[in-house]
Amino acid sequence: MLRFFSILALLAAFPAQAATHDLVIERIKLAVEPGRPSTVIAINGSVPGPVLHFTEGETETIRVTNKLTETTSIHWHGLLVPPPKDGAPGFNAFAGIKPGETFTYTFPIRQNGTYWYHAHSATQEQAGQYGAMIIAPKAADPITADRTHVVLISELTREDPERILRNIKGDSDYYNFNKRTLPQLIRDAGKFGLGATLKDRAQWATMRMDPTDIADVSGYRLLVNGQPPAKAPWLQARPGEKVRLRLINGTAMSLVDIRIPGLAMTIVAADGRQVEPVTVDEFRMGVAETYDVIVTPTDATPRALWIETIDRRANALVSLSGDPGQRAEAPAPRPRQILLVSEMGHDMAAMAGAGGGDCPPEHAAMGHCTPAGAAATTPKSPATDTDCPPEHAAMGHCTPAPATKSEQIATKTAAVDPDCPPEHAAMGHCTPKNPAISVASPPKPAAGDPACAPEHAAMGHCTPRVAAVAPATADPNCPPEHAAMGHCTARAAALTGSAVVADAGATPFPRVDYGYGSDPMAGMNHAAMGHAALAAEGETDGSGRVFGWATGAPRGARVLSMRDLRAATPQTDLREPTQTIVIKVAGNMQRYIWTLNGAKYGEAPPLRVKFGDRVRITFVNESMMAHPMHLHGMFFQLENGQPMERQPDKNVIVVAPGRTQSILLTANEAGEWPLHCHLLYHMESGMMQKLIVASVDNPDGSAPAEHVH
Amino acid sequence: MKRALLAAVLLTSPAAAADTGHHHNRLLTYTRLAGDYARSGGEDVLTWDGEGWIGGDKHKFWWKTEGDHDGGTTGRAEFQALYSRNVWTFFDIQAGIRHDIEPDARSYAVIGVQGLAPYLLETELHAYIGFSGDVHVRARQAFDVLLTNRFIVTPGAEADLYLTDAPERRTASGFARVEAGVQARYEFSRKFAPYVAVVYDSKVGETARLARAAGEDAGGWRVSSGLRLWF
Repeated sequence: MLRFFSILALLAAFPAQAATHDLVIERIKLAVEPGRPSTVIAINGSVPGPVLHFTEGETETIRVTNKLTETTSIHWHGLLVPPPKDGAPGFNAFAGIKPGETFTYTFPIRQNGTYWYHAHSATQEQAGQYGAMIIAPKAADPITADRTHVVLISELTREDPERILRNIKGDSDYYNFNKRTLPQLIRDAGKFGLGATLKDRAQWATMRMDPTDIADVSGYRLLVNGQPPAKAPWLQARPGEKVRLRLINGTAMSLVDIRIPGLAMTIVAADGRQVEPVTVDEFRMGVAETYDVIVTPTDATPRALWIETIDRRANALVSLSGDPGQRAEAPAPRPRQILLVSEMGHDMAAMAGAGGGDCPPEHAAMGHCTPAGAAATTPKSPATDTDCPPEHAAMGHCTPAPATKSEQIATKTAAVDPDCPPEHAAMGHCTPKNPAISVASPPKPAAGDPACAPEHAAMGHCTPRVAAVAPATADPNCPPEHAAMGHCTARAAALTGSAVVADAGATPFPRVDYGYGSDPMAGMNHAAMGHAALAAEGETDGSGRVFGWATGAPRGARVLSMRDLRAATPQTDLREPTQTIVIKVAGNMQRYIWTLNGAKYGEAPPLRVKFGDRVRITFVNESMMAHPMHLHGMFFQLENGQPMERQPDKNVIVVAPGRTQSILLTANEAGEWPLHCHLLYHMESGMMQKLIVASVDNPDGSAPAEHVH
Repeated sequence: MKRALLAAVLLTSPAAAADTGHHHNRLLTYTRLAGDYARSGGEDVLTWDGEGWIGGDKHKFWWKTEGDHDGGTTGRAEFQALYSRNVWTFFDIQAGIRHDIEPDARSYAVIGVQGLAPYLLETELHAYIGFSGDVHVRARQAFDVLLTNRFIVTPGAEADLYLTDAPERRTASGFARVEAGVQARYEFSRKFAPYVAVVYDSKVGETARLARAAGEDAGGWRVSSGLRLWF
């Protein structure tokens, strides 16, 4: 008896010590799909790996044994960890786990919620090396539910991931069988007129981009908790029960649209952090995002949790019902989106802050502008084309010489007046405003930053501080540039509710509003402004397409907007950022090279932030693909138009095609943190940077020596 | 010497990131072969066109071969080995060596560009400076028209412009050879695509006259069927 108490006392003395978990990583043959064994990387013999259950406040020990023939790693996605335990090789002196080795991860758990873990080495993640990680709060869970299910969405590929990469490097359209065809051109000509259709095709062909390129890789089966569609996954949800779904997008490459026809979903947490409840009919989930959703079935009808990739080439049906015999019917798939030219590059306001970014290559290619200082800012970038590539010169289209004076003036005008880019002014659509009265816009170089004159910024010598006006206070439904034109009247941001965007003058169809305040042209009639636009964003034309970055949800559907996310607990750091880091998110789709600020990982020096500083990071997406940008080691706050104390914590933010998105970061975790696109093949093709949070400089005041591999 | 240099360039760049778990400079390969058969002027005509590369995003080693075998004799057999460097977003500069086995054995120094021009035109433009003194320029363009996502019609053209005479090959300066046609292929997969092609392949101008004067066939129309493979 005494012995029992002494053991109890011993246990009580180490309350923070939890169980030790063992993960064994091994390449095996596994029939994930019944009857079709394929080679996978399994964790403890299964795909996905086991669901890890942790408790906030405890210290977890995880021993990871590598039985592969190559180096591997496990990264704890979204976890606040000591830097060497983050699990990304090449960062914080972590060199990965060598074959045959066992690496011990030990860290105190400082958070709760829905997370996941996955390989961070080469393309191993897609072969099956991932799993869910659920962290219980120390006290009672503020999110109450009668039943909780983990819904880990992932992909099963029958191809070797390295082969997939080789295929898309050889032909970036390798997996795209949704391209527009000649018959479609004829149909469009009948519908929209030959002139408009040819103009639209010509603009895409000139940019050498493809409006149907919304997913680089296909041929996947979507798995839910490792179950393929053939196994008809089922989750119990009895009528009247409050069911919490912990949704994790553990795919390598698939953004997905999620809905439960006939059942509203209330989003209560995003990326593990609690948010004020938002009720929606559907939402789009970026790669590596997690959402906690509450659903309450009202009757015994089996409901379909319907998950489809945005290219509509794969889907998963999960039946939610009282007993496993009751299966739900699959709804009709939503139309497939076809991007609009207007998505691309007409966002002069947002681009003005980036070095040379006021003239993205696609504009230069169209002869709209001449990139300023492009060579100086991104010397190694193949993506930053100059104004006169030799193929043009060879054809006599241009002369590779310094820009003429008038072009330079036009470029500068664009930089100071986002509402009236030069190509519009040239068409007589508008008159460039005096910069002094133009509205403040997040990444715009403040005219009055004496420490960083625009000409220096253009050369990449410094980043101008932002204007004092916080963009977050603007009304998302009525951005200042619209208000200025009398299109709408700014009002206070909605406190709760759905994401139906049906502001006057805009499309009546719901839009997926990733990229807050980024698209001053949204809702405008592009055709009337001289841009080829076959239809308004969000419109469907009955042919199985939806135009623009939209889900194709019907009129009146409530679609989650990033603007709707409000932190459940007020933020504590309400300082204005002292520094803005502009990151151009771009790539060369034809060559499948993906870059941040024109550089592949390792080609540019790391980003540096002083420990404790408050910084804004502005992602300017200059590509036609959405990029789920992920930061390790810290949560950031999303500048989504909510007041700063309610801006939600996230660790992944989807930056939609052509859009701009800013985040705020309190750099309170010292270390080397990967900042990367979570599309696996984008990261592996270079779309990653190192963000160093450090408090010390060298004695002479210079930055500490950096490690560039 | 030049090849050794190329190999050195190719080998030094990709290995740099090997220890980090992130391989942004993988050494990748691409191989495409196409061969077809036609019955033309009472004779069997076989033509081949192959190309491929080994390398990374910036530096690649390209190889190319093309030729034809016409009624028992090999009319053309060309092999190129090129260093290719991605210089502009959509274009590479290439330089290297071409060696012909037929119509006679000779070699050229090659310099040119290859890439994707606006309007999605696959474009190649190379200058060949012969070690025997002849100089010519070859341009190639092709464009995909999608009838469906798998049934693809590709108009294409290739032309040789000689800047010098090459008497041993009975080739006069000016446009010497033109190949223009339309290929229709069905992509069962990207890697397996049978095709039929209607091609006008002929010597032209003074070169055609010289060929005829020597009793040779200057070329003409042919309808061929073939297979395109990717590895």
